Amino acid sequence: MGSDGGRVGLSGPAGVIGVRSVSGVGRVIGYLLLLLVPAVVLAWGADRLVLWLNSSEAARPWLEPIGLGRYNTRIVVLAAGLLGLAGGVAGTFLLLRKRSLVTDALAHAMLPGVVGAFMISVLFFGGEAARSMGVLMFGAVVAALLGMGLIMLIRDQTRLKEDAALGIVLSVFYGGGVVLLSMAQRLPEAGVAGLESLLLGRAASLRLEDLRMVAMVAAVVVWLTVVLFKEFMLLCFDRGFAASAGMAVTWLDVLMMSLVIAVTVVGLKAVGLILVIALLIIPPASGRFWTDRLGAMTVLSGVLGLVSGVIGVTLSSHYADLPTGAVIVLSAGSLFLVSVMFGRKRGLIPGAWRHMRLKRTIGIQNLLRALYEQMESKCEAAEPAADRPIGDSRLSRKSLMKRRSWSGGHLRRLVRTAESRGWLRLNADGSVVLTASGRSEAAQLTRRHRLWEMYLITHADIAPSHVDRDADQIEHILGVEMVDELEQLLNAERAQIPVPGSPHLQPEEPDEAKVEEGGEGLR
Amino acid sequence: MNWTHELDTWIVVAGVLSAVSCALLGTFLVLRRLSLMGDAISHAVLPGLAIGFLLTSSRESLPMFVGAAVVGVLTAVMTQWLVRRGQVEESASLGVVFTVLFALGLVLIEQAARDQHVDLDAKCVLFGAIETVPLHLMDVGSLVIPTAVFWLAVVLVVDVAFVAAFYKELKICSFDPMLAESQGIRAGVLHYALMSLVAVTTVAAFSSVGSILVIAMLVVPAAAAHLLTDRFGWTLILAVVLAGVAGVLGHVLAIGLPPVLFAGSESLGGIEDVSTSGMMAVVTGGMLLLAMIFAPQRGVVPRWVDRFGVSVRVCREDLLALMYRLEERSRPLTEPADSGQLAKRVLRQSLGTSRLLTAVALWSLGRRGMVEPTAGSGRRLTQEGRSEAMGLVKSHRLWETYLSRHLGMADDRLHLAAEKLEHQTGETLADRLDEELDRPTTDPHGRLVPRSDPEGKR
Repeated sequence: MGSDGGRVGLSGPAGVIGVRSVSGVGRVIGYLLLLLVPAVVLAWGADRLVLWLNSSEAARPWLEPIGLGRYNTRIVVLAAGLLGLAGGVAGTFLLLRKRSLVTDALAHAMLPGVVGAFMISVLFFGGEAARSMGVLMFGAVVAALLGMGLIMLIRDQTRLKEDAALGIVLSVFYGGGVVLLSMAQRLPEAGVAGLESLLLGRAASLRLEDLRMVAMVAAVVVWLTVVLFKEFMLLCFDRGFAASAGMAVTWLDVLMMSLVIAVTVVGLKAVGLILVIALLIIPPASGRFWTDRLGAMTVLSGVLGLVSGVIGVTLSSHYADLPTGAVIVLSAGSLFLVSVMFGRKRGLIPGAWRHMRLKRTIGIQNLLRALYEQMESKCEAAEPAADRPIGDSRLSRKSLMKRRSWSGGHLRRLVRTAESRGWLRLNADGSVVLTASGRSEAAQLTRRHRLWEMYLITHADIAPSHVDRDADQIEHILGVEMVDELEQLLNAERAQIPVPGSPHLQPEEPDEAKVEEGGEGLR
Repeated sequence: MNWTHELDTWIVVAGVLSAVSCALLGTFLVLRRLSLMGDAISHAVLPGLAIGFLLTSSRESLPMFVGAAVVGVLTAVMTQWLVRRGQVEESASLGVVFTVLFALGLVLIEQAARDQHVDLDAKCVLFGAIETVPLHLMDVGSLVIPTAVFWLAVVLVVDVAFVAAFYKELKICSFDPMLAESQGIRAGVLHYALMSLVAVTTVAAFSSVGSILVIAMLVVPAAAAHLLTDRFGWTLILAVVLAGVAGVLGHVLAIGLPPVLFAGSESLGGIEDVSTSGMMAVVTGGMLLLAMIFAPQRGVVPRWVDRFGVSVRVCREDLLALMYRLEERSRPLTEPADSGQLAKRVLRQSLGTSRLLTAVALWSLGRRGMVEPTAGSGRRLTQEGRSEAMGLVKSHRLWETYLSRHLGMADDRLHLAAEKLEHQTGETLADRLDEELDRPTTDPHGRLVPRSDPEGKR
C-alpha cells in the first residue's frame, strides 16, 4: 500500500491515460472507454463462453473428467461457483466498509420489487411477460435502489443511525412485499410459486439463461475490481483522503453498491433472498483470517466463494433432498470455521501458538537473566577478581525460585527447553550452569534490561526502585537499533562496558549462600 | 369490511400484544445500535425450532420454543465471541452467524419433513400465520382464548416486569456502559439478560404472528418515537403506543382496504384481504414517514416552517429599512411622508427576494401596523413602522461605523457585513454600540445615523 501512496492522486481513467486535468465530459468519456466498454465486452465474452461450453462438442472431453458432463449439473455448478466468486470479490469491499448488513436490507427490499413487477406484468402485459426472469430482476433492482436511497436519506437527514435505517427499510419493504405477495397469490394467473422460490432459492431450477446472467455479472465484477482496485482500496481505508485526492468518491460508492446489488439480484434465484447475503458476507470474513493484504484477501475470498458454491452444489446433488442454497451457505460456513481456527493471521490456533511461543521465549529470557544476575552477585560476594571464570558457579533451583514467582514444574520445563537450545547445562546434583553461548545471550539480555533502567532513571526521572518492573517487560522486545540508540543516548563510557552495572546497587540477600548450600537438586 | 368478532378481534389482540412487547424491547435495541438483532435472531432460531421438533418429534410448542430461545441467545453470544476473539467486524459477524444458522435450520427442516413425514414448512415460519391464531384455542380458567394470545400475554408481562424492574440500569447501560460499570451495574449481565428476553419475545411472537411483524416492531416504532421526543421515558411510551396503534390499524387496513381499493378492477376485485402482518409492518413504515415529516423541531415540515419564519423576518426588516432609505432620499424625515408609497413590485425587485416571501412579509408588516396601503397597490410606512425602521437603519449604520473604525474594514465591504449584523442586533446592543462609538452623527459613507432625538442627550 505504501508504495502506491504517491500515485493515488492520479485517479480514475484520467490518471490511467496520463491526463491530469480533464473536463467533466472528458472524464465521463474516459470512464466509459476504460471501464464500461471493456466490461460490456467481457460480459459478452463470458456469455459466449458459457454458450460454447454448453453446446460445443469440442468442450465435452474437457468437461467430462471434472464432473461437468451432465447438462443440469454443469449449469448449476457453474452458476453457483461464479456466483460465489462474484459475491466473494464484491463482498470484500463491503466488509471493509463495515456495510455487510446493507445487503441484508437490500435483499429483503427486493421482495416488493419482484412481486410488484410480477403483478404489473400480469395485469398489463399478460402472464408471458411475468414469467420472464428479466422483468422480475428489473423490479428487484428498482426496489433495491429505492431502498438504498431511503437508507441514505434516513441516515443523513434524521438522527437515526445506520442500523436503524437498515432495519426500517428491511422490515417495511419486506412487509410491503408480503402484502403484495398475498395479493399476487389471489391473481388468476399461475406462476406465484416461482416467486416464492425466490425466498429460499431453488438452484435446481436454474437454466441456461440464468447461468449466462451470472457469468456476465461475475465478469463485470471481477473486471471492475481489477481496474478500480486502488480506488476501491482507498475508499475503504480512508474515504476522506480519497476525496481529497480528487476521486469521485460518491460515484465509486454508487458503483460499489451497484456491484453488490447486481450480485444479489442474480443470486436470488439460486440461493434465495435470505441466504444470498451469506455469499457476500461469509467468504470475505473468512479471507480476513488469512491475510492482512487487501489484494490477497480479495482473491482469497473470491476463491473461497467459488469453492463453497461448487462444494455446496455437489453435496446437495448427492443428497437430493437437501436445499441447495442452504448447503452452499453451510459449506461457506464450514470454510469460515476452518478459517477462524487455522487462519494464518487472525486464526485462533496460530494465534494461540504464537502466544505460547512468545510466552516461552520470555520465560527462558527471564531465566537466563536471573541466572546471570545471581552469578554476578555471587562473584562479587566471593571475590571481585576478574580472573575467575564466572561460568563455574552453580546455581540451584531454590535460589532461582526466589527470584521470580516460578512454580517448580514451570521452572523445570524452562530449564529443559533452555538446555535443548544449548544455553545451559544441568548438573547431576540438579544445579544449573550457563554455557558460553548462554552466557553471552544472558549478558545481552541483562544489558538491555539495564540500559532501559538507566534510560528511565536518567531521562524519564523515574525512581530507581520503580524501574525494574518496567524494564522487565520491555527487555524482551527491544530491537538492535533501539539498543544502539539507547547506548548513544546514555554516555559513551557506559556503552563500552559489556554489561552496565545494575543501578539498584543493593547487595544480594545475605543468606543467599546458605540457601544455595541447602538447596535441593533440581530433580 | 367484514369483521368477525371471534376471528378478527383475536387476530388484533395477538398482533397488538406481540407488537407492544417487541416495541418495548426494540427501544433499547435501537438505542444500542443493535436494530438488526431482531432480524438476525428471528432467522437464526430456525435450527432451534427444528431440533426441538426432531428431539421430541411433536409439534408441541414448548420444546420448539425452548430450542428456539436457546439458539436465539446463542446467536447473541456467538456474535459477541466472533467480535471479541475473531476480530470480525460486528455487522459482518452477525451476518455470518445468522445466515449459517438459518441454512442449518433449512437443512434440518428438510430432514424432519422427509424422515418423519411431517409438514414443517419454513415459509410458514418466515411469514408466520397471524390469520391462524384464532384456530388454536385453550382454556384459561373459565375463558377460552387462543393459545398464542395466552403466551404472548405472558411474554408481555415478563417484558414489562423486566423493564420496570431494571429501568434505571437499562437506561444507563444503553447510553453509557462505562458509566454503568463504574456505578457497579453489571452491564454485560444486563446485556445478555436483555438479549435473552429479545430472543424469547422474538420466538414467541414470530411463531404466532410471523417474523416480518417482529422485525418491523422491534425497529420501526422505536425509531419513530426516537424522532418524536428527546426524553427516554417518552420514547419508550410512544414506541409502545405507536406499535399498538399499528397493530390495530394494520389489520383494519388489511381487511378493509382491498375491497375499497380494487372495487372496480376485474382481476384484483376478488381480493378481499391482504396479509395482516405485512400490513402492520407497512403501517409502522407510514408512521415513521409521518414522524420524519412532522416531528416537532426535527421533522421536515417544522424545520421548513422555522426556516421560512426566519426568512420572513429578515425580509420584513429589509423591507422596512428599504422603505426608510427611500423616504430618506426623497424628502426630510421630520415631515410625515405621505408620498413615500411604493409598489409591491418595486420593493420585491429591489430586495431580490421571491414573490411569495415578499408578499408574506408585506402582509405580516401590514398586520403589525407598520405599513399601510395607499391608493393603487402602493405601501407606505406608518409612524410605528418608521420608528422600527429607524432602529434598524441606525444599527446598520452604527455597525458600518464600528467595522470601519475598529476593524479597519474597507468601505466597500461594510454594507454587506452590516446587512447581516443588523438583523441580530437588539436595542440594548445598539445602544452599547452607540456609546462605544461616541454617538457618531454620520456613518463612513457620510449618511446620517438616524436618531429619534437628533440633538443627542449630551
